[in-house]
Amino acid sequence: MPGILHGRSIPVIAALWTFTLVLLVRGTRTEGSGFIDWARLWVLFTRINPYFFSAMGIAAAVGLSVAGAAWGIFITGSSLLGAAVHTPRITSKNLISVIFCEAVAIYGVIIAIILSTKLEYVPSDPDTGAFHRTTMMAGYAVFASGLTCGLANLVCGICVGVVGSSCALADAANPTLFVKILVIEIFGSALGLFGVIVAIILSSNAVFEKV
Amino acid sequence: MFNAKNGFSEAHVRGCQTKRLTKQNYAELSRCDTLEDIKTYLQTMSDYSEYVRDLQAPVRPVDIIECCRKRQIAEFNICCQQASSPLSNFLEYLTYGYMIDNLVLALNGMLRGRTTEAILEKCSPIGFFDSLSAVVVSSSVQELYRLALVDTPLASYFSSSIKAEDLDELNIELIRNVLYKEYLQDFMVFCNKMDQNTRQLMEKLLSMEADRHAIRITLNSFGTELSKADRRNLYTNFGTMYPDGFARLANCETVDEVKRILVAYPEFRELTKSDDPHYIDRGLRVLELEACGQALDEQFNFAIFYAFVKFQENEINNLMWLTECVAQRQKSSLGEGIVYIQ
Repeated sequence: MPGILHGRSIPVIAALWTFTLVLLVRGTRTEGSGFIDWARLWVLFTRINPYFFSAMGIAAAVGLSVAGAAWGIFITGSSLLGAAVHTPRITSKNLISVIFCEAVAIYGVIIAIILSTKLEYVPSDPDTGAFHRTTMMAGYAVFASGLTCGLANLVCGICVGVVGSSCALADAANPTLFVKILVIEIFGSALGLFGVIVAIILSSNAVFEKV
Repeated sequence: MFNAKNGFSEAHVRGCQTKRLTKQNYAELSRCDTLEDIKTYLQTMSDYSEYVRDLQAPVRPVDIIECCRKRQIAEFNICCQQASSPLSNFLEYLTYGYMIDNLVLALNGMLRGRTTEAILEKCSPIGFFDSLSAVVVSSSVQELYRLALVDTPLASYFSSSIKAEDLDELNIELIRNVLYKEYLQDFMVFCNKMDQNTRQLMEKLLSMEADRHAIRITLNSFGTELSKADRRNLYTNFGTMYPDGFARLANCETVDEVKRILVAYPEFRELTKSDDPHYIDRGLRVLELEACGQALDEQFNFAIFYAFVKFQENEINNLMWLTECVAQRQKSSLGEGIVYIQ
């Protein structure tokens, strides 16, 4: 990240931002004749199929969670392997760090299953092709809940991975530190659960029903 | 993402670090009366056991140091084998310092008329390069460059600034210091391209090394024919004392003047408290080790590899001092040369 904000790229980024800002302001100010036709975009947005949003939500829930878990496992795993060369006793104890990371992926899978059971077929209005507003709302809710769970688990996985890697190194140097760092790791893995809880509450409002 | 490439090497380095000799080890080693005792102690009580096991009876100090060097290169090589760019480049930079040391060792050995084998035996394996044996047959600076250095990474450090012709003792010292200065500056440029963590830690460590370099040159140049302007040219273009402190160091003529400059810097104030001439040097070593220890407290950066190599080197220096003291039966001076931190 610091590499991007370095040296010659700063004016380029600044120019891009200015250009985007001008585009947005000009587009908003002059109704109808601006660069961007907001009314038309809004219509376009409301006609997006709620099943598309639902599917994206489910994909985000499982995909981002697994990415977080994998990230955590390779951070922990590589340190664990290196440390275990000199102190083999830590391997089985520190597998628990890897399991913590794995749990993050399981949260994502659980949410994905809960979300996919919500999906039911509701036909759109045969005349206009539009969906009923409760159906649209259900689509957005599933999307938001999947995204919440996915992002929470992504960062939770990284967090547990970094702590787990330190745990392996600390345990190799001094065995008494293991339990202490494990407590920190448990707090780290609780972060993912917050995302899961919010995701479940969000998705409980989502009902695909015929009206 | 650091760990995907470098996690294994980092953990390996930390594993090695936990097996360094401790305060207690040094205390017990100091009680040994013969080199055989030292060997037995290292074999039973430390991680050197597999390296010193095969030493035959009469043990010479050189043999023990060679065993230490074997362990050093074994540990270092595991890192090198696992490393990919940019860590591999970083580790290469670490070896350049040893290459300079080896070069100087070879040149000094040549001046004293030692055989090629005896010289190569003393060289550190980390900084070994193929044309090292060509160093001993060169008779002038130009020849040295052409025969030995042109294909090594040191060539770029060498070319610009060395104008001397003959290889006498003063010139060798000059070559060492010029090369080391260029090396430090180049390393600093390289580290500035790294990620933020590495950059910050390495800046601190290299600044300290640059200060140490400057202070050493100043102390060693008293009573030689090195002019003040030349001395100023040997200092690096960075460091905690740069630029003001270096400018003042260049004009010093006695140890007391150096001390008066050092007092102004909080980190060096401790060094000025004793009248013993070796105290500053020893104090600088302790300071460096402390800085390296702090670097090891952080994770996910390259500075730990630098710190690791410094710790290795320090341990070898300690053992070298210890074995020499025991071999020459001067145990009273044991404490002066052994440096460690908890």
